[in-house]
Amino acid sequence: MDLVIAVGGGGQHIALAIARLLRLEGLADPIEAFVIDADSDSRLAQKVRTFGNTVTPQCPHPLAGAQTIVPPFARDTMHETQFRKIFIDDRAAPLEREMFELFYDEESGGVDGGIGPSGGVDIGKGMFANPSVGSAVFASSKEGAMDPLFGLARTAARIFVVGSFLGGTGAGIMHQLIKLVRETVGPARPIYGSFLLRWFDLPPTAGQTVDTATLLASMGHGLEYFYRYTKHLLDASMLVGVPDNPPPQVKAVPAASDNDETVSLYPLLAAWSLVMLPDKTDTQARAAHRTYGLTHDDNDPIWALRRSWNSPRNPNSQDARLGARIVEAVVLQEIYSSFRVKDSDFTEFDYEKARTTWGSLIGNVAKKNNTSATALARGVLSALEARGAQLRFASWWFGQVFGDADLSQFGDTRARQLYAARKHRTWKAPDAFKILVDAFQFESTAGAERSKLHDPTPEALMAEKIERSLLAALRG
Amino acid sequence: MLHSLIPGADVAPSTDTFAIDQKKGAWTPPHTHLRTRSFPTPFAQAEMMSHVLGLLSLDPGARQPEPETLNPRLQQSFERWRLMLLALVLGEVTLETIDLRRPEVDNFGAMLADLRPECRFFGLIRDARRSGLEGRKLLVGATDPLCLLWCAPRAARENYWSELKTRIDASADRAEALKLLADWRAALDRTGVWQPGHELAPPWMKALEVLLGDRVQPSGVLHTDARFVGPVRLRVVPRAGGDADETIAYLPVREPGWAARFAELLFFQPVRRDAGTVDLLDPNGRSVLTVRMAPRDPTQEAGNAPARAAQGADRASTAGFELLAGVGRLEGATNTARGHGQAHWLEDHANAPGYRSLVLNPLLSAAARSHKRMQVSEADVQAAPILYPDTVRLVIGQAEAADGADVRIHLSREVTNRVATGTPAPQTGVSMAKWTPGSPLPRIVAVPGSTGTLSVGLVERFGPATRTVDVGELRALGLSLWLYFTGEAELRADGARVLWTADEGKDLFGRVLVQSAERPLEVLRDAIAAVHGDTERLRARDRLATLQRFRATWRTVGEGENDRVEVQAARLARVAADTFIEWVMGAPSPGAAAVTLGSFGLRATAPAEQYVIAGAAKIPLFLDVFARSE
Repeated sequence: MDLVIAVGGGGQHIALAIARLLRLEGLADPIEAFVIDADSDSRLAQKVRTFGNTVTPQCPHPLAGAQTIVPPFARDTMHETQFRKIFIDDRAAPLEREMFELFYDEESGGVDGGIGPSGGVDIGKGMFANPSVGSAVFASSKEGAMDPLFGLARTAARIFVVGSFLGGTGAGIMHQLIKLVRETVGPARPIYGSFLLRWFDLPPTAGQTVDTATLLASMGHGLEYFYRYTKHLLDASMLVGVPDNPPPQVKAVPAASDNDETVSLYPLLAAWSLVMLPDKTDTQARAAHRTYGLTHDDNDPIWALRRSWNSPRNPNSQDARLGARIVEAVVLQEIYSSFRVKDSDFTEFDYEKARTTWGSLIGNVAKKNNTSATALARGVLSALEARGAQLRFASWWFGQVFGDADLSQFGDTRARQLYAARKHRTWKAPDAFKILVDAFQFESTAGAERSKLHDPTPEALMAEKIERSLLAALRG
Repeated sequence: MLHSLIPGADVAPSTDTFAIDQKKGAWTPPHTHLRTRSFPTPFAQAEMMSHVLGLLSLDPGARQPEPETLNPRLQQSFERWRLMLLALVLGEVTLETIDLRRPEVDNFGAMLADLRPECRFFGLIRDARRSGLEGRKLLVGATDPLCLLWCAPRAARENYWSELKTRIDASADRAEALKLLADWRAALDRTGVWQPGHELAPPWMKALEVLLGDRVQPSGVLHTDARFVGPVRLRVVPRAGGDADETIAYLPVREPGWAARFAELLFFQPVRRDAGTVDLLDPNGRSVLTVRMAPRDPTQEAGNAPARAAQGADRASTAGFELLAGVGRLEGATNTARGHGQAHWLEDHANAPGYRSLVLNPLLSAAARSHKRMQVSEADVQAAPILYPDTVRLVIGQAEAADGADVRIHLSREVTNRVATGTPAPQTGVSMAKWTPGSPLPRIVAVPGSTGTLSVGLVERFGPATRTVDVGELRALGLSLWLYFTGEAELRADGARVLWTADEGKDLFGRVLVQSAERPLEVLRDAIAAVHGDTERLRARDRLATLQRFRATWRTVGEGENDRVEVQAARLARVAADTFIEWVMGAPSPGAAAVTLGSFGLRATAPAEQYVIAGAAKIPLFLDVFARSE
């Protein structure tokens, strides 16, 4: 099992990209995530936790562990959220008071009895791009909150720490976290880092405490700190951010409002580190830590889709490129939509060879579960639709990132043909049933693969089996 | 076209990935946007000082950046660093090392110590003249391995830095402070770690080089006029190559004559105390100074806050951090008035361990652990004194400076009363087993026949040529022998004193008790007083014939085997007699013609009596053959 530790808002963006890739088999299982952020209720956090409201008991989150966002400190049980009062109470000795004021100025650390701004940072309202405060709060209260992480880290084969050097929370705790994880797992376990530099712009709004210049200061000073103290703790790392004179495809995008997901290529590129860094690293030569950057070719804006991310196994694909996985996702969504054109075709098994293929199998399962074949088929259709929603959540994002790119060159032969039919609007519902029937031949092979579902219903299991069989047919 | 997906990329890429092994300059925010709180650490102020010092150029003609002029929120600057360093050297600010795990620093200190265990022993810079919180000295900065010093961000509101600038730049001693820093830099250079131009050179090294440049040259007073404070951890670049490393070094504070004053401390008896210290006691048993030999125990210092002690002060080991934890530090006032000790306590005495056993050797072991070495020798200390506390480096330096005398001696009050700061008292005297008759007269003599580890010392004079302290014990003993020769003095019946019977029976020399211990030979006050006036000298010059016989008598004394104690005692008496004659004849009487002693005269062939120092060690007492007829 690989462990992805996603820290702060940047980390959540990368975790979302990884989850989407996992759903498409763009990355190899198993990967587990540990997501850390102070705010677990933002729109972004909700999107991470629910995979865009697609997670149900029968359709799990593609990235295990991402359903929970762990605060870096026990904010809910803190008696005080004012940064100063976390350390300085009425009993504080003069030396401790002096020390606190030695380390923090009035704006961050406030003054005795200060109210409002003169009280210093109120972490209950955020870190306000103040990594020096975030790091102190984390250092003082990490005990307990991070214990589950260290347990996961001890059993992980490889560890990836992902996040950004912008902002306050993630940027503030990232370095300590890497140090603690390294101390936990020892020198032999591979730990990689993938970090976003500047990748979005804040709108120029007067009077706000954080602007793009603030983010750039955090980035610059964070990198200075990274190169001085943190880099050598990692086996390899990757930095990615907007270049000085970017072509249109890789420009900084405006940050989403209301703490929602900011749709951008950069989190996907950061996720590429899960493939690229282990590939480039000789773990027997630890001293040779390297930090990598990526190159963008503006003559080939979809170069990232052309890279081989993962070679799916059972069913095998001849095309390991990410574009192939997106093509499959698009085709699968089209198939599931076609089943809904006329529900009864699917639920009453009113398609050619239905009774000798899936109709028979579903009938047998229904009989075992004391239900009718039609009722079970109806449930399977709902489960397929839920799976389709997850695929849509993933492929929609790729569409936003790469625009209306022509993917017809990607995928195995059958997938490519069906993608072309969809693209040229020649797709017909019977096409979906035809490949469904063709897929039945893989029911006992690819379709019999061990389920990834926990306590699945018969409907969910059948939907999972159908999707696997369909993928086998698309790749066959 | 290919683009590096990285801000500030300066080279067009040719492959799909590229290495970024160095931080890119373009990532550094412009001066106007330097933002201390953006450093992801509570030590952000130190990081910013390192950043600002790192901007300095070693090019002598370069105009140095002053980001603080463009960014008024910036509290760290080279100018403030300069002021704080000079203030430290001039004693305007003090360096106080605290243990972040002390109960008083509670969970804030524990958090800092957890985060950077290597910084657990943390240096605070306080202004000696300004009051801060609850009347404590104002906290104005702190130490850090990378930048050495950083500024308290709230001190500016006290208008502190402009006031400090006035004090420092107006100081008459500023140039001397810079020279002392140049000495310190030279000491670092000798240890092989001074490389300000190295790509891995820490910012403090760069800043010190910018401050001193080639303009300020060492004055060579680090060993004499500087008191060391600290230590502090410092990032250095080993000359042998490799990665940056850290060392523990002490910082100099200008204090003229400090080494000489410290040397006086070794005349106080070291006594080990339960509190992990060694006290230096004056002759009256009062503690003059304390040397810390073990780190303070935070739990013992919790006082009325034991709960806090339990929370904040864990039992983290200080092994390997002894120097940082204060081991070797001097505590207590060094300026309290006290008498000067009569014996040098570097080595063990008969019944009590000395400074080497109680302090120096344990500190060398502690230093070895702190410097991660198998052992530290005295040669190591001499090669790199800035790595060791005063309690080590000044002792070793002092032993090196001692004269050629080889026997440790116990001094009389006549000597210690004359000790002046800056002229160290003698520690050793010349053995009469090594002095041969006819060779130059020694100025300090170890009296033979002693049974303890220290010999009685007789001191004619001591100190360097420019600051010679005249005591006169040898010529006073010679005067006594002269008075006996002329019949004016007698050996008391009990053999314990020689009395000036012709002058109210004054005591000339004999046995005395010093702190319940017998001193078998001491030249007494009246004899000393007599050789500090002209009366007896002129009286002796008026008796040249007798003086010739006196000299002739002693010219044959002291021959024999060196290891025979009676020969050594006779030599002592001969040295005293010759020193007396030298004194008598040395300065002519005002208005009188110069005279010389002839080499003829009837000598006394056998002593009339002998003063027994101990056992066979006896001072022969000769009586002039004409003494009874004159």
